[in-house]
Amino acid sequence: MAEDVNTSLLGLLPEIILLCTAAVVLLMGLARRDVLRRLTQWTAVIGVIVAFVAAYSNDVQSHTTALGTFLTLLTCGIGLLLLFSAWEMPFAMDPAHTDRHYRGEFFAMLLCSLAGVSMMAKVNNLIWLFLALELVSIPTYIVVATGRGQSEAQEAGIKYFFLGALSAAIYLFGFSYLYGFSGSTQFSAITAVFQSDISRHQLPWMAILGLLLVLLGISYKIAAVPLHFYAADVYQGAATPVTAFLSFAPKAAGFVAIILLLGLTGWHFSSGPDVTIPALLTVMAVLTMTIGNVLALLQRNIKRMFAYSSIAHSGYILAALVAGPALVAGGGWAHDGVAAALFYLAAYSLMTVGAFAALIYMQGKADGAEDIDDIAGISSEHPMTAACMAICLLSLIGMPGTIGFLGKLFIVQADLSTGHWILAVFVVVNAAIAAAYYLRIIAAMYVREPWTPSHVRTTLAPRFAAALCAAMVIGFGLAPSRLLSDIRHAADYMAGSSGTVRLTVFKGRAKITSHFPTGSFGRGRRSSLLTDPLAGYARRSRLAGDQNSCVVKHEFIFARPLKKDTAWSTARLLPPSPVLERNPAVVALRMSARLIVR
Amino acid sequence: MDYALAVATALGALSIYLLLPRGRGSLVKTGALVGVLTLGAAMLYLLRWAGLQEGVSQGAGLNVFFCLFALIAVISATAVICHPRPLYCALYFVLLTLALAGLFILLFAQFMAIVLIIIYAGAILVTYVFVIMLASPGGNVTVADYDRVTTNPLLAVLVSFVLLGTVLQLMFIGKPRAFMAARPAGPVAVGMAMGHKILAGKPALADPKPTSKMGVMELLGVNLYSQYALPLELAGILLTISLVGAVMIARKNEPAAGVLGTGQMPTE
Amino acid sequence: MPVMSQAVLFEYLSLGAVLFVLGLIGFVARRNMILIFLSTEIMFQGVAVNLIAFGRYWMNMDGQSFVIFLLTIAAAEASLALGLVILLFRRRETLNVDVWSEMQG
Repeated sequence: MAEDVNTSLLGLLPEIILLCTAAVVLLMGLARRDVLRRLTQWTAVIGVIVAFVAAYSNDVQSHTTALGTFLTLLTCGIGLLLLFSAWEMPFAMDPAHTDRHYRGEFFAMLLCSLAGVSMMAKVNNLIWLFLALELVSIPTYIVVATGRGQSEAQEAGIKYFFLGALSAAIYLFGFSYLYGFSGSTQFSAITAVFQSDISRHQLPWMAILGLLLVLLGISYKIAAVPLHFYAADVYQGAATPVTAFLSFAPKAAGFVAIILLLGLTGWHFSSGPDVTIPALLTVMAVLTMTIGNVLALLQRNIKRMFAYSSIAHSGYILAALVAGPALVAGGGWAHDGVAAALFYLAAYSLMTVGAFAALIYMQGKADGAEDIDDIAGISSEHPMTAACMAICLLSLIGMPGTIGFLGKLFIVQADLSTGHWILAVFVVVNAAIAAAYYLRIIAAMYVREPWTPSHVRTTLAPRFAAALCAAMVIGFGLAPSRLLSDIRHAADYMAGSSGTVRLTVFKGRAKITSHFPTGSFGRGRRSSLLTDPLAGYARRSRLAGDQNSCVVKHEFIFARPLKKDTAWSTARLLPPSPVLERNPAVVALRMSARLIVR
Repeated sequence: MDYALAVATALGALSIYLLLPRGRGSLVKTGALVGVLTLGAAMLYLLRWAGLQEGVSQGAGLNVFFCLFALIAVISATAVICHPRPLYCALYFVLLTLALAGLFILLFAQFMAIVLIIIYAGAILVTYVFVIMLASPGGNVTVADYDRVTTNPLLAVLVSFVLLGTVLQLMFIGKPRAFMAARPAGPVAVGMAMGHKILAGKPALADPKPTSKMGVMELLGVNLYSQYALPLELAGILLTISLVGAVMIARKNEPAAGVLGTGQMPTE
Repeated sequence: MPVMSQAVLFEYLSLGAVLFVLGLIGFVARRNMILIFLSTEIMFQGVAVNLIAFGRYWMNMDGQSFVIFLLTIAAAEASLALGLVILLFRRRETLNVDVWSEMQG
């Protein structure tokens, strides 16, 4: 299925649209006519909307995975909000900055980076993954360094870029081991080698070392320990719309890359030296969220504070990833760490972009509202923007009724149900710590008297973005079903990829035996098998197994001779999505239907 | 734990630590001595280790040319990170690429060897030399203060060599099987098997028996343009982006007042 | 073309690891911006040695193709890095990276 992407470009249509728009925008920025140059933002927005619509169409969706579609939709949606909040870039970002003629390049860079994020889930080999990661990063290096004229931006640029090159070298070293261990760069081939090694309960050290290095390298993209320390300086130094961009694009790309790469192993780390990887992920998650939150408490600069809080939120998502995917597609939310991670990623993007958009609106002055004093008492003059910001901040805390609450809830649920209760405790404690500094901003806006006269921007766009984000934070918080079902499909891509399924057909009886290794990565997951979608259709389902493995047997009886329609309708009891084909149980059922018809 | 290997690694760490530039009392000679000892020990270790492995007859143990090029590569890489004068560092990097090109030829990657020399030594490193000459405060006559000293040399050496030590220990301890699964038995060696597979269904490419006839470059081209056609396009896009980005970064921010609204192109 | 034994492969792998680590030391320890970036190039070279040795071991071209992309990206990053270095040098007249640490907190 993934190979189709290579043969058919249709699945990549949204990315192609984004890149073409980037080229057009780049040229429009150089236009002779002022009118044309003023239209660059509009062109960029139209391009993103067209890409969104394209990603929604069935033709495109059928050529890609649900994870790919979800990521493209998320990227285009958040990208649109980011474009709105960057509307004036790099114009009146600071009046001292007089270079007024390169906004075309700026928006072209944003679009290229968005195309990279959107492509991330559609890659099918290591080389492509490497190039997609660089396509996300290289434009961000450029916009960080050139986003505004002050020397802080250049300091941020050099730090960001050099550390980025280091991280690229580290994860490439990991990639070289992954390639060397399997002899192929194709994901499918690597998965096959992993699976055969896992069945021998012994992964070679090279594979583990490769994965460790890749995780360390990518930790830079998601701003997690150990390569997190650049975040504060870079977030502070970059222009605020760029900062908002940084809190979404590299993070989304990095997390999806991690999901894909852990998916290569089948998320299976049960015995032997393989424990290294879940242990590393757990340590990374705990350190990331704790360090982020504690350091955020000490900040007075709002952008630095958001930098540390962004580190902390990466820790939450890592905590979700430790829980791993659901064992079977269509299982409940409680067991699905990948779905929780994707949901939190979407939620975090919405909340943080909303907060940044509000901040950009309040940044009328030359150096912007960066200190917490700058937004003191702003609610009396700009109640609407302050309310948007407050909603986003409350959601970042995790107030019930907001999307942030649901996100944390799913993470805690996933961790608890898979036996990682320590992580769940850490998430909850950290959420409480985080409340302190978010509430400080809200208190400054609502309780304190204005410190300095406030200057706000005259453009509508950042305000519009903030309002949109706040509305969605509440809307999805109260009625999340649509988002949930999309994410459910996206995460099902990973679900069940760890199991093996044996199918036996005898005289109209189809027996499907699924064998799921459990273990340190999935302790306590066995109960989730009760929600196995096949269970409802089987004549008899049995569950057996010991500490380390779990066997599910389903028996189906079909009267012989079967009518073609009957058999297929059995197969169609499962959602007819190409996504589910990765789930061995579904494949087996489809196979059985085919066999019986024959 | 393989103690001989651990000692060699520690010696290497010591020599790099001594060789890194430091303001007062240079210890370069001691460092170089330790370094030579380390390299000798490493070579002896490899020789012994390679002798112990099964099936050495095929690979003929330790290749003389491998030793030669690897030594040059390691020494020049050390010089790049340790030499106080940036220009020399860049030139040692050229030496490093030459040594690696030699290794690539040993590995039947002739095209990559040439590419490495042309692109790295010929293009990228020349740009580096250019920038170093352009951006030397003292006109490259005196060594700048910040090139004489290093930040956290001990930390850097420790972290890096712990990483190296771990990798090497895992690699050389016990059976190779534990570090890397064995290549599946069977006729893997029939040429570069890839070309076979790709060309099988495509009679348009005339050669019906590609594997024996096709050279490395031809195989590489087929691989690149069939399996990695899309990444190749992406690489082109990335090069364009970095071109535009380099212009954006390096341009001077001259005041261009009144450009907007006049409808005129900004004049440089 | 003879088959490459695992022993020979490991010799190349250890060379790749040594180059990678030397680059890492240079990255952390040196203070000259140009040399810091040159150190990452050494790390890339270590990766390239690994990839080509693996390609030789597995008898396929993926390793070499990977290195071509590696070189492309390294070149692209080098162009950006040198542009950035020139920009920073123009501002402060020095290549010392420690000068650029004004933001604290």
